[in-house]
Amino acid sequence: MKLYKWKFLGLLALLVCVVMPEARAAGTTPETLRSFAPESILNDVGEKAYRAGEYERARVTWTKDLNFLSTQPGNEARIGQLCYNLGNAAYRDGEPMRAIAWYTAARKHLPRDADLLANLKFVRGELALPPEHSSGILSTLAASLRSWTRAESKSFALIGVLLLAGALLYEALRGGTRGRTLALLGVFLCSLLWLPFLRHCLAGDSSPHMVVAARGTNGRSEPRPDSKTLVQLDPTEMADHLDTWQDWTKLRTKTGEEVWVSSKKVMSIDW
Amino acid sequence: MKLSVLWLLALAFMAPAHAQNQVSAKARLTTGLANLGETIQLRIIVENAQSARVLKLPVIDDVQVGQLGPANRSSFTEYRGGVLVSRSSLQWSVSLQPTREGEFDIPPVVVEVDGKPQNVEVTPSSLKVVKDQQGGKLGFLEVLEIPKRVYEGQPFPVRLRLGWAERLQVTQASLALPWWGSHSGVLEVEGPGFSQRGKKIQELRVNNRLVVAFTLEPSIEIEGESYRVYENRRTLVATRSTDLEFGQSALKFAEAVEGSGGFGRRPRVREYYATADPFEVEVLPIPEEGRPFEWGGAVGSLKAERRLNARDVVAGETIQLEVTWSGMANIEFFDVPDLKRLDAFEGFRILGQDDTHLGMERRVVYEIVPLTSEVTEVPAVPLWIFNPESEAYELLETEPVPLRVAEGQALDLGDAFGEEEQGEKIDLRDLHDWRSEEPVSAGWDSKWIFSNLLFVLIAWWLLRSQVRKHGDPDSRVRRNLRRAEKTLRRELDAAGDARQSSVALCHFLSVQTGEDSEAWIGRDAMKWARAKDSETLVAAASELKEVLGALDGAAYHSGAAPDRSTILKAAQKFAKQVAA
Repeated sequence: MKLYKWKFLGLLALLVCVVMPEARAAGTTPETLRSFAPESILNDVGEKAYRAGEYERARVTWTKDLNFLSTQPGNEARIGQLCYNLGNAAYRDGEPMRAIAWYTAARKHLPRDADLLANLKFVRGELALPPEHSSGILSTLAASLRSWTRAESKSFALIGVLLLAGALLYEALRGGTRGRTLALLGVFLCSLLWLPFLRHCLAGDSSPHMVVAARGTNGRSEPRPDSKTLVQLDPTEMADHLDTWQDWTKLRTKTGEEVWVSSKKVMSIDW
Repeated sequence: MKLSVLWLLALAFMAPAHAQNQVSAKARLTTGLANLGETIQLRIIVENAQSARVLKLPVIDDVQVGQLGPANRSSFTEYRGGVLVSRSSLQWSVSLQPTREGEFDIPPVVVEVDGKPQNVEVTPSSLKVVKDQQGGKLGFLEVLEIPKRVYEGQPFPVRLRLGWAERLQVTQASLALPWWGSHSGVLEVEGPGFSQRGKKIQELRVNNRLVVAFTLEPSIEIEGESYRVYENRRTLVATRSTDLEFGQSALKFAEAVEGSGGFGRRPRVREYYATADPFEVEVLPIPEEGRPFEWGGAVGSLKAERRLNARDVVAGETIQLEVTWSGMANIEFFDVPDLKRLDAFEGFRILGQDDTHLGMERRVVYEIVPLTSEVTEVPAVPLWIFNPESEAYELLETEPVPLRVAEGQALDLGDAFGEEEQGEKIDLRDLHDWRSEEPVSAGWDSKWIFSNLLFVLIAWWLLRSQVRKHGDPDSRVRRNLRRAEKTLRRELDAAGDARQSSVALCHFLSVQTGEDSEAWIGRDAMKWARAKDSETLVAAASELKEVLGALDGAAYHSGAAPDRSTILKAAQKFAKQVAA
């Protein structure tokens, strides 16, 4: 009798995982968006300016729209599309380095968008920048981890938990070599499915900035132009934002150095 | 008396007095008379000092003073008149290389001995350098084709030619070229037309540190004397305006003296020195007057050629334009034309360029795409150069190439080879309509996902522990228990009569109770259940007893056997109570 009871409890646990109400943020439908969006969004001012060749005006308008959207939940895809459009406007306006930064910002929300990847590759090619990723195994693995949005990575993580639950349930009830093998397989699959989610979690609250100066920029010890240069930051190199002082931005580089750079030469890609 | 003898013995065996010689320092040249090109050694010796170091070497005009080598330390001890005497010495050696004839005064060397600096006079105090007249007749050294002046960036040749009389049995030869590699702002580049192919190579040591290959050239005859000739050609580029001084060069060659060197001894040699006079090259700055904005630093004399891999193409198709510039110019160092900035190439999209150079040839392959059928030719590619001969800037252009461009869509490589080639498209992809984008859920809450994982792990641990309280779920008994009902169904299906059904049921009951199958043949199930002291079990056993009795009656008498479902129901009910 007790055995049946525990089987029942195990199944109940699985059901709890699946049936428990999901904690999803409500997205803004196109209709809802129109009901409270600013004038620029309603009249599509940005696109009109872009089509008229007024790229600077398009950029200003879209940046305002972007600031508005980023305050609303469930607009990740729209933010991605807007960053993509801003990338196009920056390129047309003669600022290809900023275009790369915008495309990189868009890729966070649209990691597999064919147009976005094509434009990013195109602009990098125009600037004769080296390939973004090398062809090594680790680089390929890192690129595959980046190719999922945060929401997708959460779904994968949940599927991983379900697979693990099933495998562990079998192991608990049946035991034996088969049970252990299945449990190990479950752990392995769950770990794989959790990798994109963990990557997003580890990225956490960091606010990445990208170097948008064509020749890179100097990372200085203090926020003044005559201070000592600690590192040279390459074009399109990314670093985490730490602080801002007047026209200077403090960043933490990949190698861990904390340096000040001119704010004109870096751009936030955290949208 | 005895005491006196002991004292004498003690004195005799006592350690002798330890004496130290006086401290001294001296410096001397290996010779006071040397041939031009010869290397003279200056030896500095400090004796019996605790410590010593050379503070300052002599500085002599037109004499190259080499690096101070490490000190050579030696010491020995000897008995002298019953006294133990220790001697020690430190010795340094420095090479001196005069670069002209004449007499040179050698200033003293400053040496610090036991912490005190002192001037040490060099003996002899002067060095006389003369030209080796005999060496000048038996050998020669020339530096040919040197221009008196060049412009910044203009390559110029340096041709070294040397030789010695063929009748000499020369066993060793080397060169002293004080200017070799010593000019700052001068680069060596790959020169034109110097081929070593098919020629005999002779390697000579230069400045006692480099080995340089010389080619054996045809012999020449001067005033009835036949000379063996070697050559080496180099091409230099001066990168800034200055006067380049090439000091006195010298060739040292030696022949073995007849009759020497027997019984493993090194043969004696007779050395000769042939010299080449010093010279200067003036490097002029590139004039700013008349300098075109497009000039990319090309200096020299060039010719341009072009080649196209296809002349009949479709609009949008990539073609390769190969442009080659060759000649005596700073091939490696000028900027090639950027076609993207040329108005003449407006009808083309420039995808990229591959830039290579080899010797005196620069080759650039441009990948260009004609955009419309209105394009009728590949325009001339211009290159501004500064010609040192005419001392003016000149425009060098390739010949235009006629081109036929058909209307139509060229093959899209992106479609043919997948997404990898998508970036090869020649313009940006258009805007996205972001306003009509459907909202996307932000996804599950991260904390909830983590708590799910934690919950699964804890639940697994609890469930596992609970299950294993009843034993290993993978044990044979537990496996048989799990399989028992399925086996009973299968055996009942296969049973042909009541007897076989009875055997199947007994087998099922034995698995449930952990007894042998035979124990249940003819057993009173009620009695067995009462012994277990469980009312529910007794109730289930009564039903089972009826089924067992009916089966036995049908098997051994003539009664009717219970049907399959009745047997299964009774068996399941009984098994459930046993498990409880």
